[in-house]
Amino acid sequence: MTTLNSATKNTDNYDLVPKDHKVMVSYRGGFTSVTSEYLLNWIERFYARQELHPSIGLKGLFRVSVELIQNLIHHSKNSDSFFFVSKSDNGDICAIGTSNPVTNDQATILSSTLTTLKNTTQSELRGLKMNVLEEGKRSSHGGGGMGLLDLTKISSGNINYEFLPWSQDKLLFCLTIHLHSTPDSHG
Amino acid sequence: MDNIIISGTSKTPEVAFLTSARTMKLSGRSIPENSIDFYAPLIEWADGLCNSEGYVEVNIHLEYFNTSSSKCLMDLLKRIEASTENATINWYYEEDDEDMLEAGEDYDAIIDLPFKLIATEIR
Repeated sequence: MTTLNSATKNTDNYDLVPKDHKVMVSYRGGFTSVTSEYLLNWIERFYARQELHPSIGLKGLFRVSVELIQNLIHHSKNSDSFFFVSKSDNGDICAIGTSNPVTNDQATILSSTLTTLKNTTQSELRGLKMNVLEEGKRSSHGGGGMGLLDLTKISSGNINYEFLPWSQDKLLFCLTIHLHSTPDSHG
Repeated sequence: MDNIIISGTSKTPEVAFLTSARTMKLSGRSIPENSIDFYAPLIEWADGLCNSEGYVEVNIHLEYFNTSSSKCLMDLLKRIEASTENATINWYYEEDDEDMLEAGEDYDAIIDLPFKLIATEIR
């Protein structure tokens, strides 16, 4: 994992979008319930244009977007937070991503969690999800660590992350989920 | 106990918790930012109903829900399970929605109450 001390707040958010993709929806700023409502409306409108392969369902796209946006609402009070939805030329891949500054300690935890989840099979993810559901703790808003698990499961493990230089004491956490028209079997 | 009837919104489900019919129905989307605020009164209401005599029917017909709602649904079902053995959970899912079917199967595996998984036509 990268840990940087120099102030290098020069990342262009659109660098996070896959190179051959067209951005369909994007937003940079603070995230609130109202922002969420607008973005989800835009995603529905985008989906209705039928530019994605039909096997990429609206429900999957919506579930990923909701979890990502709500992660930002709950865990990032920073106005430099970013969200996007993009699609490949022929619409067979849809990418949904976010970026937000995090502390080094948060980055360590996120990196460890995501590395573990990415190396977990689909059936193991389902078992983990059931464990969290049955016995897991609840945060004040009702979550409690299930979001990344669910995102990994929905995307069949097609979840990528990196930490980019941001400021003296923070890194930019970039998370991208890919929905494929024919998902890779992960387990 | 008064009925709880709440219209659905873009983020919260339609709720029909009816005292005399002894039925609870949740339908639509459940993606509120703070699920506990939404579900806590419903869980208390369910506890009150299930601690009184009589059969209870629970109908869950959600289009999709976020992870915090999934935990609140578990809390609701666990509270019903703890209060009565005389209840059935009807879990509705659109016939092509494998995720919603799987979610129902997971709740069924955890909750020790009669659990019906009911496929519906695609809307």
